[in-house]
Amino acid sequence: MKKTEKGILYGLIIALTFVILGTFVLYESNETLDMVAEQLGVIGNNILTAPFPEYSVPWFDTVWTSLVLGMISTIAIFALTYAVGKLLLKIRAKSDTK
Amino acid sequence: MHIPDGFLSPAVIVTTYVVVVIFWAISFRRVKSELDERMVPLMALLTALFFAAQMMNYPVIGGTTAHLLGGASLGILLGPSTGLISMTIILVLQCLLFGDGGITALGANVLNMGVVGVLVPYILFVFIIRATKGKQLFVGAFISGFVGDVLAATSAGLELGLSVPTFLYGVSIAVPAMAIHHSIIGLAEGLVTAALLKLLITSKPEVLNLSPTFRHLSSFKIHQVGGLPLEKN
Repeated sequence: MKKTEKGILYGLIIALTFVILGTFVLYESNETLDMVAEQLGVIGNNILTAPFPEYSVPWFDTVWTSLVLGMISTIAIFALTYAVGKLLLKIRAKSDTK
Repeated sequence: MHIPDGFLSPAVIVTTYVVVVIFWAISFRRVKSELDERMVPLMALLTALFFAAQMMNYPVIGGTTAHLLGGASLGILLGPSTGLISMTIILVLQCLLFGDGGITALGANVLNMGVVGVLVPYILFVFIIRATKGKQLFVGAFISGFVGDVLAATSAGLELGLSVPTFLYGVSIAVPAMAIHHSIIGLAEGLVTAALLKLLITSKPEVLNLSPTFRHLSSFKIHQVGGLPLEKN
């Protein structure tokens, strides 16, 4: 395995460990903004309906599905950002040749 | 720190979107000089890493929680333009897939966490490293992470405070509430930023020499940062 690939693998393992910690240990979210809003009676309703609200699968809401969702979305973000990075380089190469 | 729909006034929504679109345009132009082939895996990895890190909520004060932002690390390691693009990817997906932050508040959230949270730490880090001739890496990274987090929260508080009567409390209450609570997680952000840089210096110094920030520093006749000899730009 190449050095870069090894680094990516270790990094992704750390990211997935964060997902595990975020699902099982550090999951309780009570942000200042939400708390202040609640005290004031301000209700924030999102206009768009998110397919996975609060990082859960609405039709099968268990801690395990949240874990799998968190892991898949972390890897998907990695892949998406990689694709965006490559696309930006391609655009640059195209504009350089013009 | 993710603002949902319904908290911001139309004027604040429009203003924040306009400001962010300007920063996106600048970033997309500047990213050409920051990004190179070897940095793409690092960009993808750091984006995934801080997306996952934002899932972990730490107790702060008064029963509230906060999460790490990652803005300082993204800004310092990837450069401000690539860092902003990375943070934008995180925030857009959080908004569209998980309902973390509203679509009308996306401009404000990107402004707080992507522009203020990435750009301010980058500027501070470069300033401190230049002022100390590369000797205070840990201090520079810690202060950058801390100030970046607190200012991002302050910016959110300002937007909320300026959204009266949509948001019931003005600037004098919203700003300190956000800034004080996030100063606790800001300390953690500072430590994480400093620890990450220290770890990379000892285990993967080649990564730092790829970073546009470190390449930029070498053009200011800074020859080493935290003991890491910089490659000439």
